[in-house]
Amino acid sequence: MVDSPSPCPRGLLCPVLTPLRSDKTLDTASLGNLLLRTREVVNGFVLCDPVWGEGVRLPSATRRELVTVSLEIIDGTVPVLVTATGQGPEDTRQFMETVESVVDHMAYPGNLFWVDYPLVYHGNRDLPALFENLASQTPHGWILGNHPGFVSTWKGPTRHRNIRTAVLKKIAQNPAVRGMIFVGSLRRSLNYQEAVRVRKDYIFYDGDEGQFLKNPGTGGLMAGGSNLMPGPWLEIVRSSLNRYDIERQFQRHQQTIWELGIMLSECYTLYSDAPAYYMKKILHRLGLIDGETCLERPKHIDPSREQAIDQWLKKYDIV
Amino acid sequence: MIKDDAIEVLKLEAEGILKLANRIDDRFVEMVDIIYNAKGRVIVAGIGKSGIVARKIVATLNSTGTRSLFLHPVEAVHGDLGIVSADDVFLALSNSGETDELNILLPSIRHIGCSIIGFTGNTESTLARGSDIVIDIGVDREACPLGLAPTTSTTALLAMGDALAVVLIKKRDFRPSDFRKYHPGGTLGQRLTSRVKDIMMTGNAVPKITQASDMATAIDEIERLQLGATLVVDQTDTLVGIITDGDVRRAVARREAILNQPIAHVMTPNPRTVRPETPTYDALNVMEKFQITVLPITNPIGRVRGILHLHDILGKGEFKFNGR
Repeated sequence: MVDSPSPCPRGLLCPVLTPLRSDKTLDTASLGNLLLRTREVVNGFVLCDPVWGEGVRLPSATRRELVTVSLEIIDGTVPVLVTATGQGPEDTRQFMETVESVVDHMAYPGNLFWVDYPLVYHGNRDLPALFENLASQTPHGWILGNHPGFVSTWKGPTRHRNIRTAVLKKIAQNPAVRGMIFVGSLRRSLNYQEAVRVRKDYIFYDGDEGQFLKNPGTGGLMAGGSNLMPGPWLEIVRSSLNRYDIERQFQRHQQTIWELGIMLSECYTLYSDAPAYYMKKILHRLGLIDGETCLERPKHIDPSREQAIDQWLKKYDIV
Repeated sequence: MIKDDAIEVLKLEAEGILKLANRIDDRFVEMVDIIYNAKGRVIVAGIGKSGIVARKIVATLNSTGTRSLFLHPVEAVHGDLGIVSADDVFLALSNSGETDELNILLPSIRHIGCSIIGFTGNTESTLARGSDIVIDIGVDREACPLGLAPTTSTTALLAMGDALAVVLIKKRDFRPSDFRKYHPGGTLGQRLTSRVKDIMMTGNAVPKITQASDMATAIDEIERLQLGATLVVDQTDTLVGIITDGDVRRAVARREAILNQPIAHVMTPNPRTVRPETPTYDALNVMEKFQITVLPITNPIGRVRGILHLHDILGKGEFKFNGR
């Protein structure tokens, strides 16, 4: 049940990386550094994201520590979206309970939302009922996640990669479900938007920053690149969501945005095939986190990538 | 009934645009090449509703890096034709292709020597015959009863204009050099079209202290370089704040023992910044908008690269307020 629905954040969401020590425990110092350097800039944080935060693969204890430490540092300054998705329905429910108790214990002062990528552990059938059930267990709103790329790499119990449009239409009748982080085809995004047309408050966040650079949406963006460059990403997002006002302020705004867009899209190509793995490498290279440990190494590693990263960093005077 | 009618109009217009997609062929590619390679501007002309659409196409092209001008056909025959040069591309819009006011210009445009592109729904029309490239924007039916007003056809024109503009953006590959090529400036313009990195202060000329410093060090640093401010950085040289004369003055006004205050208490955290590549004009706008005279310059991840004072923009160039 949602008692007093808080507005979903519009704009830039940062899916926080999960910095790990070499023994794969949480590196809280690096996490603090990441959050502190971005919290004044972004419009919201996403914790335990399955791709950027390696959320589904993280052990429960690490996920709990990640959320606790992050909430202490963020301290209500910006909304926080916590990905509840676990390896199964029970795992998901247990994690929700754990976080709810942490939040209650802290008397957390900020806005909190749950994110779930249900197809990781559940088929399309009966999804509306699942969300009725999940919503009844928390006062916080829900954001759906649709990420066919991730779901296809995850050996879950379902062969479905996308939430069916008709199913979304039914889920969206539940007022506790407030929006969606979307990755997928342009055609599907248009169909989804049409399916939730009656919900004026329903917000879509682009979950693929490359797609956003090409055809920006109007709700917001979850950009993992903002772990590295929150300022430039915010500029791009603000420009896309509030273009007219910004153009009035800066006559050369478009040129600036073009240049930023080039820089960010070049950077995107450096990490898009293994986001957490390559982004940690870049952040470590810049001394922003202490290590580059990931839970799993990607299957294919491009041997020339490190050199490409170095060239990009030098090109834009970042090192 | 009203709703059905409205839905019908939207469907007709949508179908009109979708049918254009099937007609995109090599002529469209050739048109894009001509405009992309043109040294001059795209002169867009049309009359009536097509004239209104022409103005919108001009606005879109200009805001996406393709210099463009609207030419009213009637004003053109009374002298405005003088703005057209051989380097330009002439884009004529007419659904019927038989708009006398427009077609009468074609021989003169041809004589000037610029390429003529016709957006028309009638590929056998006078406009089509007089054009180097014809883009077919014909639609099956208008949405307005009795065809009283062009509806689907003007929507199709508009959409084709957007397709042209977006393709040109992509063809330019977002190269800023292409953008700048089309934005020459005057004396002040030349000054202001420079980049911040060309005029910012760097190295030892940047007043800078670390977070761990005390206020006495901060004041010494402000005094050392006489910029009225010092930047505050962390151990990785990332900007965390700024202390200005104003911050010091306000602390004194609060009767605080300022020398004993921690830096973090006095500084303004997360000040506005621009990057070295930012056009100077934008930096000036930021200063004006936020009433500040000093701007820290940082790289994309917030590390200090320099500092810019208002005087660096106005006092070191050709431009001065007193005109001397």
